[in-house]
Amino acid sequence: MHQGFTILDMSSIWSDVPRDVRRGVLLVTLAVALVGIAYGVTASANGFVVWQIVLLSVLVLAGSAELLFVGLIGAGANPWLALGASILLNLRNVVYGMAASPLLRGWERWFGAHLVNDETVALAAAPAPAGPTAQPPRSPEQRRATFFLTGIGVAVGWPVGAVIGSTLGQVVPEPEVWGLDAVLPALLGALAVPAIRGGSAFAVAVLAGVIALLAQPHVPLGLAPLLGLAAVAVLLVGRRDGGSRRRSGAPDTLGVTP
Amino acid sequence: MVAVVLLAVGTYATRRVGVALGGRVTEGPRAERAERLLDHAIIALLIGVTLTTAVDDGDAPAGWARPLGVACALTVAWLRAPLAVSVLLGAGVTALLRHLGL
Repeated sequence: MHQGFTILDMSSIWSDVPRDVRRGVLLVTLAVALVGIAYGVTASANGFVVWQIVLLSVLVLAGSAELLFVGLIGAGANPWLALGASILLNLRNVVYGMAASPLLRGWERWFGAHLVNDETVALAAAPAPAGPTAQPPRSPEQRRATFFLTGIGVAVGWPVGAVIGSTLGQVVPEPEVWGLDAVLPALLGALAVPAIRGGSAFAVAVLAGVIALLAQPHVPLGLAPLLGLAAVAVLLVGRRDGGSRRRSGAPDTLGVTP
Repeated sequence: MVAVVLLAVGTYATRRVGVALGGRVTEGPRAERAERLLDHAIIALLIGVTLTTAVDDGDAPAGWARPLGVACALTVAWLRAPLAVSVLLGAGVTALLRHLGL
């Protein structure tokens, strides 16, 4: 296939995504649409009109940042403050972008970058589940296809949800009644869980979670998860101590405690 | 409106910068090490975002309903429940607890 200016080959993307992952992509799309409904309702309750809500959802395509943005503006915050806070919340995309980078080639980097988010990276770039039900490692082709399929799902599901939400806004004024505000953390958590069954990944997850929760009340919203990245550095130091053991082929053990 | 456009541009920039940086570290002799580090970084971020948005998403006051709902979702996910079950349980428990006045 010519790498030049061909459009993404959708049928090859579909067939390259492992069967068990396709269901995950569909569920992620539906869950993202649910969060999109909550966002649409919140945004219209905060005085945004439908075209603004949809424009934000398509151009920004970052759920949590948009929710924060419309929430802050609705609460009467200065738009520049809302802008800064939302960009801060999106800084984690730098790390996600780095992780997605090997999956994107050439010109794909330009529009593929727009699809980099929690969901696409969790499904396509996160390490394969460990443990007894471990699947065979996925090929780069499969991971690339998973990235684009999830990306398209999110890029469709999110604005569609936002449209539904912003038109429903008058009917269902409070998405909280339906627990829709819990969908995003539940989705991201459930996507991350299979990847943290391995020893060192579990240690990173616990440590990062503790750091983020402890930091949360004291730092601007969105910074706490970034501080949780310190867990990776701590583990790295720990691993240096246990390095010889690991190299001898021992199973992955907790590297944090020397 | 200007803020909306800047948010779109800024968000795209964070992603594109990441993709560009990633291209440098995931090629060459240190690629394997860099990818392991990134794997762990992704996990740290996903868990961090999960837990912090469970307790406070900057919009509605969280109370106890959402953290408990998300805790249920994580528990059943750990017990290998399907993704849909985890997500629906998280939302359902949160809604139920709110209904009960928590």
